[in-house]
Amino acid sequence: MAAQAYEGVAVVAPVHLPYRRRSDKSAAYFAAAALHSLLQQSGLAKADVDGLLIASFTLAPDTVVSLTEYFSLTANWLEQLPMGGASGPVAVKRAARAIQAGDAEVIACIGADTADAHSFAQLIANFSRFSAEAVYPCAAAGPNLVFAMITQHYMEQYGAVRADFGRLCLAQRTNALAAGMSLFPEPLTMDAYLNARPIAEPLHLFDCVMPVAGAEGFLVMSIAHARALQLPYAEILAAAENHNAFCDDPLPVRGGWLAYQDSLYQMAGVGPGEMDFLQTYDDYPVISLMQMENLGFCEAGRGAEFVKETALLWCGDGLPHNTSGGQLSAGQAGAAGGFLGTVEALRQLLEPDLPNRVAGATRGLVSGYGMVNYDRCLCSSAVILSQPGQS
Amino acid sequence: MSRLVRWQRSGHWQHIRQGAAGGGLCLQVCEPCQAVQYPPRDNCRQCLSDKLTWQPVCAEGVVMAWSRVHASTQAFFREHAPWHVANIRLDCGVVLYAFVSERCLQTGTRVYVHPVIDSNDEVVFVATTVAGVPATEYERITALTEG
Repeated sequence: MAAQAYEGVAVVAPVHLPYRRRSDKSAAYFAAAALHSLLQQSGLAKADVDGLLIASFTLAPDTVVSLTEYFSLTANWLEQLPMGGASGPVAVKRAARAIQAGDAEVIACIGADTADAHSFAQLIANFSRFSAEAVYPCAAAGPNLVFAMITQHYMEQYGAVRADFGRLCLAQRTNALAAGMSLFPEPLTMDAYLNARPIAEPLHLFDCVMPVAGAEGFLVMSIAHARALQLPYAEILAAAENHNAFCDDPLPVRGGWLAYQDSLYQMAGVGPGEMDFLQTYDDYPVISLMQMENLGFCEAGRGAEFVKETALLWCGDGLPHNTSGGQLSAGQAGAAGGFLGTVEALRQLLEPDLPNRVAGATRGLVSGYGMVNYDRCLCSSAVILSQPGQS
Repeated sequence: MSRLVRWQRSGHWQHIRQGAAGGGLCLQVCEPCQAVQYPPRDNCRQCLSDKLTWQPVCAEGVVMAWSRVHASTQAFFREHAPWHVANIRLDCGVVLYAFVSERCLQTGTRVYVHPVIDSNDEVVFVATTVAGVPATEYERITALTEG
């Protein structure tokens, strides 16, 4: 049975809190700052929010339940997503269903994480049981080790070279500088990319994301409610998620996006060629290439050629990709990194004055990938968002 | 010189450690369906049975992917980098990560996986192209892991 459409649901008030390299504040602080911005931007009062969804790695031992007390917020609906980089599109999907069912009226969806001197080391030492016991002892390299393997395998399988990944990283840096979100003050050159220090070969410095503290968020409500509040909103043309797809592949060269590519575009009524931008989850460049392949922007194994032939800049005439610079340039704010693409997509659709606005953008695709449990990430997600009336 | 900080492992690893002391690789095998399990767990990954027994398994496999690791969150590993690590698919069907010798840094290389006990009394896997652990490889792992 085909999934029901996401009719009648509005996504509003995208919020991006500027990232910080380090913070001694708690994850709750960043979640509260995001909620504060959501209320300011929407003009709603805290008491108007009756649903709360949180994604965070550093909130523990607290949970979304603890946050209701921290915020002094009474809710009818709570959700906490343990899906890391897949959490943004999944948040849209879950919240939309709750709105359709009438379980909540206004849901605040927030990804928030802090980053102190020890949080990243602690996170990777205990990320999952398999990873802590059977990956971490091999040089305590965190996800870099697993993605070095995936990248090396992909390069051998499909003939991709480092410069192919470099093209994607260079374009994202340009986008980040235009968006005012770059951690780095200058554009990235191919020489700098190729000559960067090795981290876990074939990964070098600019293939890896920098941990930061920050938060992202948006509100989900009915279209009728958004109209009554006179809030600009985006519609959900389609959304999908999948977990532990293709688990018999020896090493991943594809993800769950491929499992629902057809049904996603079928529900949306538009195809990849009709997307005005693409926001992929870029924990490592190879994963962005896989998303381009598995979501139909190019054929399987042709990601390297695709990024060679296609302009990926926000202002180009190719496929504007990770238009705010992605995590590779802006940093990875933990699970908020899983919201970065969704929030940037919403800003592209709802904020005409965005400095990195893709000219004429009316719809776009966001995809996510998360949770490296052992030798690959298990969660994949995607959502197609549009301005009203663009389906 | 920095000390290696111990990692967290469940009691299952005691069985792998005991196997290593006997010179072989012991992993869990499912009694009903015979599937070999790794990383250690409480239920079979295929049939979900909890009847898993520790048995010697064939330690031969193939390098699926590899990396020279330069960056680590542990000072100990940073001081002695780079480390050669491979993703190895054992013939018995499971995937494990192991330290490898330089000559194993090629996809498709046939390797033997040796569980060795470091000075923290922890098991680490070392893979080589030959049966029996060459002294240099053993020293590389165990001597460096002297606490």
